[in-house]
Amino acid sequence: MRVHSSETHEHGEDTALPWGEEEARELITRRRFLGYLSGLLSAVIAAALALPLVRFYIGNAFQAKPARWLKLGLTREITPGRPKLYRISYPDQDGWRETVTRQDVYAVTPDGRDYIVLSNICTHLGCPIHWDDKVQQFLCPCHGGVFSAEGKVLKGPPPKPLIQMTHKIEGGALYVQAGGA
Amino acid sequence: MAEKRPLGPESDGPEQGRDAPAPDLFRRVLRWVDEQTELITLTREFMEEPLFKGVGWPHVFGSAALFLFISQVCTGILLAVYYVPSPDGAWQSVSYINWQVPFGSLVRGLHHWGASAMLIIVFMHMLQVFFWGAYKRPRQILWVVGVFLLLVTLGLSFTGYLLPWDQKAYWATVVGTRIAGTVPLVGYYITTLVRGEANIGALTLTRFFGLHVMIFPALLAGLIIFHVSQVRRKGITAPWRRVGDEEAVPRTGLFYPDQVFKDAVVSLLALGGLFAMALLRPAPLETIANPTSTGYTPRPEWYFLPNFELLKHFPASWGQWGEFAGAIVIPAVAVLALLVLPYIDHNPERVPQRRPLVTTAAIVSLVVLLYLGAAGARSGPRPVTLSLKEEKGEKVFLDLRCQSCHSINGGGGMEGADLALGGPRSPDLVIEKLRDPTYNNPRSVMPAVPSSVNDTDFSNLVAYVSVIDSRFHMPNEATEIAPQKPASHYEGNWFANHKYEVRKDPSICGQCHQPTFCQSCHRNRLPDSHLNDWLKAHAGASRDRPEYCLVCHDQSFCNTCHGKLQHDSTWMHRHQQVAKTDRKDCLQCHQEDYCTTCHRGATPVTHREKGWLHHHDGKAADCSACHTASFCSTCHEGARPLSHANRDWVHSHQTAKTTECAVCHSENFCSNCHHGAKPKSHDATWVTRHGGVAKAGMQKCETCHTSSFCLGCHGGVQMPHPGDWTLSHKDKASFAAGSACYRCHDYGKFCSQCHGETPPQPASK
Repeated sequence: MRVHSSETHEHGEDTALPWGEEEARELITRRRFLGYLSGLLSAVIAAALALPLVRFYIGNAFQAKPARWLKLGLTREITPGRPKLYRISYPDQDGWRETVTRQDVYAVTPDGRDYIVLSNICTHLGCPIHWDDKVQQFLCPCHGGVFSAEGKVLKGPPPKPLIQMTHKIEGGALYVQAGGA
Repeated sequence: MAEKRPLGPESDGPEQGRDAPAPDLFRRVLRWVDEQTELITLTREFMEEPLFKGVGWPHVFGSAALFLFISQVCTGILLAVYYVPSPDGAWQSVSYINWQVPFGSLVRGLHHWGASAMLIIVFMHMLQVFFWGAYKRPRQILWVVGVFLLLVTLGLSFTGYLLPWDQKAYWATVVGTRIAGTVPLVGYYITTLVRGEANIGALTLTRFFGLHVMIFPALLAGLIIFHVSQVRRKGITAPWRRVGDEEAVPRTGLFYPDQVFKDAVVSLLALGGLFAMALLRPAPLETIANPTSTGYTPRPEWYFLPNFELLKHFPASWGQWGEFAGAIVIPAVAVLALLVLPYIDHNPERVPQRRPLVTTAAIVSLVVLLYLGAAGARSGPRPVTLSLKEEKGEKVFLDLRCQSCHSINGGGGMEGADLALGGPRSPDLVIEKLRDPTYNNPRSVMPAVPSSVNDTDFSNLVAYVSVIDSRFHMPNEATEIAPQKPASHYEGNWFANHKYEVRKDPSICGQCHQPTFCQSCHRNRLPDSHLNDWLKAHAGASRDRPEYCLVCHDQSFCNTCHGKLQHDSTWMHRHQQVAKTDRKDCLQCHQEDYCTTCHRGATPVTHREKGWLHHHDGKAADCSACHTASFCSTCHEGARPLSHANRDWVHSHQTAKTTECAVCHSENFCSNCHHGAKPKSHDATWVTRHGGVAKAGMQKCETCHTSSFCLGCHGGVQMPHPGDWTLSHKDKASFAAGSACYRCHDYGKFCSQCHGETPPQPASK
């Protein structure tokens, strides 16, 4: 959609009927002006149509979903040094569909005062890790990743410790923030 | 159409390049591209069409139609990015487009109004071509292709109409496809073929989707390419010249920029119009299609109105043949006439006045078409005009979200009655129902109009609800409110199943609703869990999952019972006071007569005192600790009659007329004291025993009897016998046979206890 240059009209003049020189010059100016104006109008039309359509196409792709607090359970139920598995589920909006998202998290406390909530997704390639009570470690079934009770990498390929999820304690209950991705 | 063409580069084409003193890199690239593709040269050749003198503003409709087609393609492709052609997802995805996607409503509006605009512009284009006589030799095929373009455009409109899968779409398609069924013999097969199955459903939707986004657009694009290339080859007709005279007309114009400028102006105006319509009148989306709804009145879209009206002008006796003639034969004949027109009209004149036959026929057809369209638009249900009061009432109706449960000819919730049925109503009944929805149905879950609605608004609402009848439709604003509900709330079984959803995770409901929201319906209906033995179980349930309670109740709810009313270990000592001050709280759980389960036998010490029944009136101030005010009326129903105020009443009441007692007292009232006809003590042996009782003290006897009562039996003998009776009895009593002594004493036996074998003969008086 670009504005044409004046040569068009000169060319147009070549093929047009032979007018008087005066007349022809006047025509060239008028046509050049009309040409510019046509280009401008076309650009306006294209922009007016394209801008909303581009935004429409982008849609909600980059829109963050609202985070929500989910109650895991009472803190006194969690034995110090022994991660406790919770399955959280919450309604999620998948485009125009409403779905339920489920996820496993581990709540860990070393001393009954401080708590952390670990995602069960291995930081290597996303397999679900599990707590092995015998060896007191998180084990990844896929590529042998091993994490400590605090989520630190002990062995294997995982590049980062387990993801700690935002949490809070209210009224003796442990809450975790979910769905804010 | 020109605005989509790359105009600029043509000037930098190879031919022009020779004049350029120093072609820069950009021009060199363009020249290379043109050498490879010839695109620039072709475009330039296309744009440099010389135009006959007189071609101008009347000739813009073709380009405008093409612009609208391009606009429809752009918006359509992007709508397809989100749209799902399935009955489960179609409406939901369109609703998502409308309310969730940025500019969704605008893009849908552009596409919706673009369809109508395209039909109008295509029709205007045809009229222009007709009246300018441009369909004549050598351009007959342009006209024929144009007619097919019109038909495909109509096909696009018809198939696109169903896609949102709302009530309007569904029912319009039901009617539209049924028309094909009027064809004799094969009608059923055509309808079924169009629908893809016997009824409109998933297969109809996918079929229409395929036609709308693939087959028809491809067909249209192909026809347009042919149509435009033919226009370019045969040129735009020289206005008002006879067939064959065109070459004499000078070609003074150039398609670019002379005509392109006009096209661009008209296209911009068209786009502006579409934007205005899309923003001011967004594309409607009614409630999701409901094949079972019986109240919905389908209306054809405006471009089918002439045909719709035509059907009514066939006599009913023609039956299906009438419909066949109106819906199929006449339109088919009209299309056929249009197709053959350029081949049967051999008149070389292009000026309308010089070809009166076809011009008259066209004008008559146009007038008939417009008349039928206008009549069709008018002939629907009588238009509803609301008074100012009713209009305000309609707003209150929406403010109170009545449409969440009630529909009006569809378009609302399905829980309540469809108000279009059974109207208009008596305002008195409406008032009664709105004030107390349970008045005619105790299990009604409809909430009463809240007290926050003032009297004016209430009377406006009553006025509006009263007049609603079958002509009414749900106000347009209603759908704008409704789709903000999550999709789950639109599932057909949501109303029945929401209790299970609440139980799964009540906190989800709490994200939007206040705890008291449930009460707006459940005031008259407890949750099922609360029905049996709930009071016993609720302590454990509330300890386990307090969030469940919080769905309906707020935190302070527990305190209504568990504050001072907590039935703990001190309760037995406190309950008397609580029962006195907050009796209504007790009544939340207990029945009115619950106290008597304990207090019937366990009377307080005071009540066990002798003569309590007779003296209790003096201590009335203390009674309210246990008794309600109404307790007195158990005995003292009404005021005491004057007769009873007499101190001697207890003694004398036995002589009263029993009919008079019955005025206040029930039959068994006497047994309060008498336990039958006489006191219990007065049994068969009483006559022999009563002396001893009387001797111990006469107070008890005197409750009922006067001292003279004894004389009734004992004649002149003083009773009980005074202390000196042993000495004086020979003087004071008569011992003659049949005397009063022998009622109690056996003459021979009793006297001989003192007097030996021969008692003295009684002294003669």
